[in-house]
Amino acid sequence: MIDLPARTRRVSGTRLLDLCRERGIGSIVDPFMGLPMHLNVLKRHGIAVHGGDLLEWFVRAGEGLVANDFTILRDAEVAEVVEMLPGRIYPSDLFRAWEGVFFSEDQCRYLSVWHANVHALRSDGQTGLALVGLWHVLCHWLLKARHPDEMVDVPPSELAWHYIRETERWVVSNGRRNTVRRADFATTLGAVRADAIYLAPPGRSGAKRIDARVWMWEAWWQGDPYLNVERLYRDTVFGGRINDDASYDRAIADVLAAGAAPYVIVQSSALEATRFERLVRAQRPHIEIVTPNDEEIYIIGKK
Amino acid sequence: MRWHREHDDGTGIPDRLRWDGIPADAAALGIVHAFLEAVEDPSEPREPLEALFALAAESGRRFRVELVRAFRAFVGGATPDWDAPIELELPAFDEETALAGLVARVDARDSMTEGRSERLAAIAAALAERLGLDAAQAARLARLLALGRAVEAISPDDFDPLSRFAREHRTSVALRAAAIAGSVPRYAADAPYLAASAAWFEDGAQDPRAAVLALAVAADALPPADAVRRLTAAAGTQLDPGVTRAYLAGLGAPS
Repeated sequence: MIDLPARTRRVSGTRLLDLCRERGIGSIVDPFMGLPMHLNVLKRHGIAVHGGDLLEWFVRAGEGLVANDFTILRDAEVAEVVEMLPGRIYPSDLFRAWEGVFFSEDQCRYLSVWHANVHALRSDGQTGLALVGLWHVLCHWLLKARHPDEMVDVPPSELAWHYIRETERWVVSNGRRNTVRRADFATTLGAVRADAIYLAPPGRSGAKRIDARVWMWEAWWQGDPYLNVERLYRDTVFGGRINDDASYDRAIADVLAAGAAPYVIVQSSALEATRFERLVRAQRPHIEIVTPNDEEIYIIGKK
Repeated sequence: MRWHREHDDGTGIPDRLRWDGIPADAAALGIVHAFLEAVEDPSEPREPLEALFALAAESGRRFRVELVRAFRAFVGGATPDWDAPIELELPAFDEETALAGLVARVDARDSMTEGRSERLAAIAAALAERLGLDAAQAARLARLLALGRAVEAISPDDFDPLSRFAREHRTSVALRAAAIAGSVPRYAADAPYLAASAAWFEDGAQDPRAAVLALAVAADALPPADAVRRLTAAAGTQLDPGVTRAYLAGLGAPS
């Protein structure tokens, strides 16, 4: 059974929206976007959003939730994702390495089928939406393995259907150009012009402490159950020796220096706020700190 | 409050937060809210045990597994048993108190308006009693009217209720209050009285409940030193003379 640590950072789109509206910010870029639900919320409210990440499945999800303005998965298309299509040959043992460790035989077979079906989808938007829907299924299964008697049994295809259909209501257009890219922060920040940069900086040794559900889904998307996501971070500013304070500060300073936007919004907590305030002040002289609660402290720097 | 509709699996509103990204207080509020919604559903009220089963079915999806377990222990006692009936006594929901509390909170946003709706309710109730009308309904109408004023931008100092220039403003407040009341089944019957409260007596016959409300609004907003003189002057044109007489008699003023 896999450990599911409770360390999820609260990235609230509506909170960011409040901050943007108060300052007349009309576009924002997040170079470490993760699963871009917050960008989707901002997009829904008319802000032009741009995101970047190194994990491909985050970017694919962004293509469904951020860049995609109108494409949804209709019933027939969802059916083509969640069930084995007659006449098609599936590599049913693609995720056999996870069998008996994380998932049952049946679940591993479904993961293989869905992997093939999602890769066969016709548009980036549809692929992104299916990917996000099925990610919820993976999380549900892992949680169910920990609490088998406290969660209802739902057949895999029905669960997948439910979660993929759920994504339909998240598709929205804001009449602006919204982008996502698989790139490091420098490329992302150099490629788009925005009024503000939003940073929820990766923690120290973030790649080592990445949530199991996140790397497993990247492994699923890549079709490689043995995938190690640490290698994706190894060559970035956050991949080297950032366990010492000076190296971590240098990495954050590099990110802040790479952006030319008038505003920088850094999300921090009570524990790290002083450090980030010092780092932001070095790049943006006018500092404002918004503290809705101890877990959410926003350090807003303006040129 | 912002996140009490978030779901543990990340499919809720407004931010689609997931897992421990949802504040514990918001998650707790969410499960209690869902439980009470199930128990007090007007179309299909459920027994507490039934409502709890409905929550348990959402364990790991809408609600965190540990939260559902803790809530079951909280509701059912220290040794929760899913098969044992739950003896839970929910206090009856007192909508009048809730409405009074809501408008009092709205008034309290500004020191100029603090306690205004309760003053208005007290005047309306006393006057209705004197006229042989339902005092509780009069107080409720006064509080609903106060909800209609909740978003007004004009400060009370600028609002002379007997001025013709204020008529448009009064009408919009009354219509807003009527719309709010009309949207709640329990208060839907009060909506016409609220809408009529901005009408002037000289425009045609007015329901006594609306007339009481109109007079209460005017009496509350006028300076005490001017009230008797100006209300007397407005009787027969803007205000119902019978209702005005009853109010002035209550003050001990000569009619």
